[in-house]
Amino acid sequence: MGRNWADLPPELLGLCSQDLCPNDLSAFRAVCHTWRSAAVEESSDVPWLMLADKKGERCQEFFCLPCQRIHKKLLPEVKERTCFSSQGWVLTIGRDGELHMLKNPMLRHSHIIKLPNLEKLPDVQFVLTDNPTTSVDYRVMVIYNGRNKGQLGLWKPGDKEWTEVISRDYHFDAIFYKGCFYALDGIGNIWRCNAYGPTPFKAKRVFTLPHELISQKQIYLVQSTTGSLLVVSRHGIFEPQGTFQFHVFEIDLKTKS
Amino acid sequence: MSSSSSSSLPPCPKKMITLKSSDGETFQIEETAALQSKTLENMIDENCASTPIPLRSINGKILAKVVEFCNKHAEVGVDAESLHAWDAEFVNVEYTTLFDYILAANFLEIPTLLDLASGVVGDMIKGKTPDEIRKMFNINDAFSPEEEEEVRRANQWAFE
Repeated sequence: MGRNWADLPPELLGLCSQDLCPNDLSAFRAVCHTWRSAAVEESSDVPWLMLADKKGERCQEFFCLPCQRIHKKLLPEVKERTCFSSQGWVLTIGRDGELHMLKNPMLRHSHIIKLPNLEKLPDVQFVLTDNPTTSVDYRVMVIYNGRNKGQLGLWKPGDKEWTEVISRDYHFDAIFYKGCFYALDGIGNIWRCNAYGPTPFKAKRVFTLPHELISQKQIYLVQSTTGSLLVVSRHGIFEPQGTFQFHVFEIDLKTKS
Repeated sequence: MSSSSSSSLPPCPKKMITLKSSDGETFQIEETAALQSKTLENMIDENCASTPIPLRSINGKILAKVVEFCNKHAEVGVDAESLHAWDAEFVNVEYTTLFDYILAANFLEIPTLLDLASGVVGDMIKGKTPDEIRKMFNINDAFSPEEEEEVRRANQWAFE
């Protein structure tokens, strides 16, 4: 019996392709007609680590976790720009303060959304409420250095300018959690900004972390896979030996505990 | 406690079933080992396994290997590491045999073998260009130049 790999039933070809990284998957698709239609959909939940720009290298390098290799791609859209990511989108900031949001930078001619320039650049965080591909009613929050360091800026589609959110300054992390933005300031206050409410430009303090939790530590806001709001404190970041410990706390905003 | 469970009964003689390949060879396999195949399990459940089961799409050479695989995976007391090594050796075969494993595992519904064989195919594809893959698997059903160009544009970096 002749064995024609092009004639293997699609569901079996799909099985063969299911563990491939996006790079290998596109090679798989390019083999022949049956392989092209049989390949599994590219899953976008596989993390890719974008590596820092290399001098003299035209392409952007990515470390692919599934296959543990480095892939290269010509990506003028992100070259020499600072990048942040949220909801699978990438925010790029040029030296001139130009802000763009890119959907999946892997796809050429991918969707690009231009945001109003920020004179002072965001330096910490970029958060989307929703995926702009599937929703038109999304909001963007950045932490940027404006009049003060670490201010919150809000933008929605159609806005010509960023809206400054009134809150304490020196924010260093933000997250979109259960319908609202939450931002953490330098003295351990968690601020809530209801971006879809009547006063999106006003943030309300909803929680204060104990001082000993935050002093000399880097703090992150994280949503757990089970839907809780977590605070992660990273110890030792300001010490010569580096990070040596992480503490994770669950925050209950209702009981404030 | 009631003693209706089979484990408390004296061990009954090993039940064997007979498989018949497309080229007429017959193979004996213990029922417990055959249970790895959902297809055979269904036949056992429906009492259709008392006579030799004809498997018209699987030849004797492949069926012998599949029986070997089922026996190994039904063995008790094999540690995961050595089973893993055994599996790796089992699929260290020519592409044509691998192809037959996949079809046989699919027909007999043996998920462990299907995952193993398809995983090996995936591993062989990793890091290869479409051309290399076509050569490796002897696939001639190439695209027309127009299609080729379209695929090239859609998957630009598979060719970099």
